Amino acid sequence: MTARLREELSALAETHPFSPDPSAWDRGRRARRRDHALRGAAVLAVVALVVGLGTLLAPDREARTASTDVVEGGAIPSRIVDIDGGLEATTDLAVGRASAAFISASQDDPVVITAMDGVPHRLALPGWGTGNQGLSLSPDGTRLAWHDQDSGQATIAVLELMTGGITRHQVHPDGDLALRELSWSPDSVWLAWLGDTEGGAYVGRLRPVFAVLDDNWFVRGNVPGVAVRSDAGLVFSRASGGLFSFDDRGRPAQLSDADQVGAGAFSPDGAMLALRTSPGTASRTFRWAGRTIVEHPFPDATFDRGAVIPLGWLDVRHQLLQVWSDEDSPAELVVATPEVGETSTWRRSVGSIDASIAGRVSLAVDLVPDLDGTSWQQLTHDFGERTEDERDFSWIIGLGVAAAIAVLLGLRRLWRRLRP
Amino acid sequence: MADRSGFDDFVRARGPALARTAYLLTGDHHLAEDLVQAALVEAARRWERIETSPEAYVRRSMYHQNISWWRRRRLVESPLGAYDEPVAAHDPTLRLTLEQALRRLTSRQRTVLVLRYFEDLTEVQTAEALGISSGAVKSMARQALRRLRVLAPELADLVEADA
Repeated sequence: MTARLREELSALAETHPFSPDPSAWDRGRRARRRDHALRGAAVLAVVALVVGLGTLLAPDREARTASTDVVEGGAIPSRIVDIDGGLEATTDLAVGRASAAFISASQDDPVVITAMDGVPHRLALPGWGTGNQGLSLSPDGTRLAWHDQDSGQATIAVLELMTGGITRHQVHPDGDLALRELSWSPDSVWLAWLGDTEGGAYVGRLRPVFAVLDDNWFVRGNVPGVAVRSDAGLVFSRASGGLFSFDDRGRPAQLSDADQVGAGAFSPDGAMLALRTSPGTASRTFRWAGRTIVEHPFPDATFDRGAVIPLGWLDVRHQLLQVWSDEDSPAELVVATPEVGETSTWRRSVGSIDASIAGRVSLAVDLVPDLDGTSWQQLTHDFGERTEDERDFSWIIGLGVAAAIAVLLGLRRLWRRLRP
Repeated sequence: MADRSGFDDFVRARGPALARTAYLLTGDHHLAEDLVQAALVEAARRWERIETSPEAYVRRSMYHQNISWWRRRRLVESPLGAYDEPVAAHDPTLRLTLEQALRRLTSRQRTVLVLRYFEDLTEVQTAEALGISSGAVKSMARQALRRLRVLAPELADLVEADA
């Protein structure tokens, strides 16, 4: 009954489309300022002076964009390229909401691109090891999951990109389990995982915010992909063919016998599952109702053949796909409906991913704007070229001014105390 | 990123999900908005001190606020005479019936139900989130399901097994 009650509660909750107002920040900060006005002024003065001086003296080698381009709310970059060795890894993991994450092909390190400014950050994630394949950014761009190899047990770590906080979840006692695949639900709540072991694989799911570890199941054979719906339903694919879920007893139940496909990304309503495909002439999607596979052939004069990796869904109709037609050329981002119809969409030139990292990228699809129906709408953003070592002094000047004001406030208070 | 843009990003990304939970907790659109805003103000006030997940902090704040609001409101809530009268069966759909029946639960019962069956928390995690014992959670969940059955017999299929 739990599943049905959950379904009904979820459907009921969906009837409330309210989006909170970020102005809560101002109210919260006013309250905070009232609490700490005088003490804060003194602390700020000291901290600002120390930090300002320290920053002026210390080198800053993090890459920044040449333009001061900032996109309100954030956007996915129109070109996603690998980093080079000049970009130093940062241990300050509170980089903010990200638009993309990938494993660098040249450095073998995790990289996120921040959503507001398009700047890449090479992250020194604790527990990240050589050859690690498990890295996944949530569709809302706020969480990054990876295989933490430090503990010696199968552990998934989840980083909150806004605060830098990390939670760790031991998903299986088998230390040799190679956590290869991590996949978020469309609402960024559930995380499906897949770990290879002798003779098969374990698949499971967890809910990082509440540290809810759900069951995991052993599956025989080669399991290349796993996906999870917003209501926690889990689907996996086998290399020998077929899509499967689990029955009430935890046994694999076949949904489709399609071959050359893998579990990709669920639509927000869970009705469709976009599929990974080997090089072919169409994108393919599993439709839950009727348990059928539908296809959207590549239009004429686009791709002759291409491998498709779903990166997520923009809404219940449109999926964001990575189509890779040639191993030496960049992969293209394509927005498409699952099949051809009177109102179908198939749009290329949305963006590109360098060939070296194609297949290693996860995107915050929630950052793609709602489609307005025009063919010229920009779905990604050109942040300009990166340059190294371009120092931004504006915040230091701001801190200096704040420090001066704080010192003046302190002197005024002192003068009031001392005057007769 | 202890600043405004980090907070804005968080609200934009997770706000709709928080609003959905708030609606289930309160059963009222306006109260839900107030509940989320109040929890966000609290988070903004302590933003730098939230060490792990801002969402977990805001959710926990919502659960506690909701119960404390209910304590302040309960004197003017509907009289007990109508406490266990079945919900009028004029609604054709199960969802509307569930919505009406949820509104007739106490705030604590509804909160436990939402945490257990919408947020998928275990009894221990629910108890920890609400600051009560897991025995109390178990008993409140059972009472909530039983009341749902009484209030809306047509929900029996949904709430039968664990009641």
